[in-house]
Amino acid sequence: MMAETGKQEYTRLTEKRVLFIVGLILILIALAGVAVTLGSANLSVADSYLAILAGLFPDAVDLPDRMIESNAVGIVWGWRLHRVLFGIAAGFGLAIAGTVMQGVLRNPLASPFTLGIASAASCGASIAIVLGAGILSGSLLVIGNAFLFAMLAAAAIYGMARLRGMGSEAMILAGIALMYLFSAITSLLQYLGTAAKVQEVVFWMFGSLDKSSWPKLGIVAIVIVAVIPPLLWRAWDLNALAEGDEVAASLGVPVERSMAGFMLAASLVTAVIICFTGTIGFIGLVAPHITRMAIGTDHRTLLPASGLVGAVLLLGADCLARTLIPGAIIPVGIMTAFLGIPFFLYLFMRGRDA
Amino acid sequence: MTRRLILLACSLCLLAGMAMAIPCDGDGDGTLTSSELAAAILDSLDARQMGGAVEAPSPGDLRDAAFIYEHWDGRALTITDTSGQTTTLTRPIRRIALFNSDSLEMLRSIGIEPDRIVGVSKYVLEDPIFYPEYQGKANLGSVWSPDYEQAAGIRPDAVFLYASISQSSCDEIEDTLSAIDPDIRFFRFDSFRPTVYADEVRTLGLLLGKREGADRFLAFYGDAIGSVAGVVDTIPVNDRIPVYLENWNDYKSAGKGSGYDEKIELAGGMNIFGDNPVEYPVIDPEAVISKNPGVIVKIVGAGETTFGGYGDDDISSFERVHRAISDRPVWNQMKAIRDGRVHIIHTDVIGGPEYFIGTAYFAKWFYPDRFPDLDPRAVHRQYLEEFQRLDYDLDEHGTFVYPA
Repeated sequence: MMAETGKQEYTRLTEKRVLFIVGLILILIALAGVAVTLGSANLSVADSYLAILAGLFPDAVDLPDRMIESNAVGIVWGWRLHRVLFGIAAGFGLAIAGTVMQGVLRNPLASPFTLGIASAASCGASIAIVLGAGILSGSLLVIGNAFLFAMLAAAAIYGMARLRGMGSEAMILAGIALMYLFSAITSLLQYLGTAAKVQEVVFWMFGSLDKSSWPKLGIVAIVIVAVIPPLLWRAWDLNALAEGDEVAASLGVPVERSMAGFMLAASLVTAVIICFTGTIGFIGLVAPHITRMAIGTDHRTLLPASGLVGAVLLLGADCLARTLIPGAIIPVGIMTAFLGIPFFLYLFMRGRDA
Repeated sequence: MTRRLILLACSLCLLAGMAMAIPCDGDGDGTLTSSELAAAILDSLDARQMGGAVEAPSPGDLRDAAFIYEHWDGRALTITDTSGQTTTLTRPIRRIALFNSDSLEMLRSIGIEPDRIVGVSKYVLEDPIFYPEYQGKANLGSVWSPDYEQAAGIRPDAVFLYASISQSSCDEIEDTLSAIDPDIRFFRFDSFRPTVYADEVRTLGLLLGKREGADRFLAFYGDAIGSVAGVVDTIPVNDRIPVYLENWNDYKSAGKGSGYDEKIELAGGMNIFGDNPVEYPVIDPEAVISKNPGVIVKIVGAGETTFGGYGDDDISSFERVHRAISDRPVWNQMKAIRDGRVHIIHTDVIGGPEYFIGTAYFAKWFYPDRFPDLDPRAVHRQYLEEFQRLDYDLDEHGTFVYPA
């Protein structure tokens, strides 16, 4: 009887999870459909879609003069489409990275931002902008530095935590310490920089999808495709780790190796996204929490669902950012913070009530 | 198969060649001669007025050909901008979008027609007093937060960016706009740096067919700079007056190689922090006291001192800043303060394309006895009336220096 009830409960939960994921996919498609029609170029909805078709089938579509004059196809294909897809990929990747970090470290506040990875990327970008120094040159100078510093921060956290026995607390403490260090370096650079350079650093740190392009989208997509499936494949290990090191070890999960692997994967995805976008806050923190509240903590469904929530949040925030003030784009990093901070406070209050 | 590939390659080369060809260059030798232009004009008249059967150039081609013949000696123009980027043009630039508002001021100095400017940065639109004729142009945002859809939608022939500031943002804009519209050309000029100022005016004059306007402006600019340099050159290095310069942030000075350091030197001053390797160092107030400058210059107009300039007629904020410097602890023992040689200047006349006006003020403040006849205000007035073509009464409006 008990087994029967448990089975029914599990089936209901599975249905709920499937419904949640299908619902999110539908919302994401609808949002993407709206997002490609938004922008300051004043293209109508029909013109935006006609421009997409004209890009796909240049010989079959007869464009009206007004669309040729306003370069509608160039604007939609050279700007809007990759921006929308980049928003989806970035939100998906950041949310999954956050979920993995929270799962591995068993801490609801773990995210690429509270672990210092984002402030390390900002520091790398600031060095490139203010001092002009970096591993790459030209338009890759800032991107290269941001990526390198983000990965260095992740390696440093891992290294320091390993010295102390790889506990999750140690990793978070190391992350917070690094966050302060990198923030201090960034502040020093801002203090010494010219007004224009400080402005550039500040805008980079806002985080924005403005910097997207087809090649950048390609790089992010390749990393996500390479990293996320193995993570999903190892979701059981994540479930075991979330229950504690001892439980995981007793279930045969190689604790240290798995933690290092998960952290490396999450750091790589985060670094490759934020080196292009700047610091887009709170997606990695908020998306896993929302998803956990909706469908529970089983990482087999939590990971993809949380990725979809992240994509919906980031694309939604970007749509708002592009339409809130006509003719101006508010950096999406600011919009995600507007979404994230009330939620963070809600979690804090809820914790106090409990 | 091989033959097909060769054919395809040849046709692609031909197409590329056609895109690069000078309009109405009948023999295709890369030089438009007077007879080729005359033939094109006659063909066009014949086709349009007499119903002639000869294939005539379009009015657009004819207009471009006339421009190239008149301003570029009938040849393609190769331009190297301040960033070192080289561009070859076979068509004139008719639609210009500018993220660099300093370049817009420089373009006005050489006499650009406002209708050739199709988009400007948001800072131009926020300044209707100085840029009245550009209000209503497309808003491109700023180099840090560009509006790509607006920038691409106005179909510019060329986009102007900064050469030495915000380089990574400018690279980003160039990459993104090129992806939307590969035909857009990009030019990077600073329009505020003394070392490249005259060269930039000359290059812009050639590029935009405004050589006469550029020469006229350069003659005026040369007089303004030369009247200071001629006297400064006679002052022995050891006799030069020590100067402390501070920008709108308290104690933020100018170090080696910075723009302000260069401007102090042009006016014959000796920057007391000129050997500091940081471009804009924040200095210890004690260091200023120990170096005991003969003149103190404070720049206002940005940050916490966002007042003054063309849109503000009230000098009281300048007075307040002036008083606050004299009231700094122990600073009253410094020579500059004891002698009453503290000067406030607005960034509009020292930080941008009008720097030569500010430099004239500097020279006058540093060596009042050596520049009895130098009148920076007159230079400023002539610049606004003759070269900026602004209906602006400098005696009635604006606050730029204190004490006047």
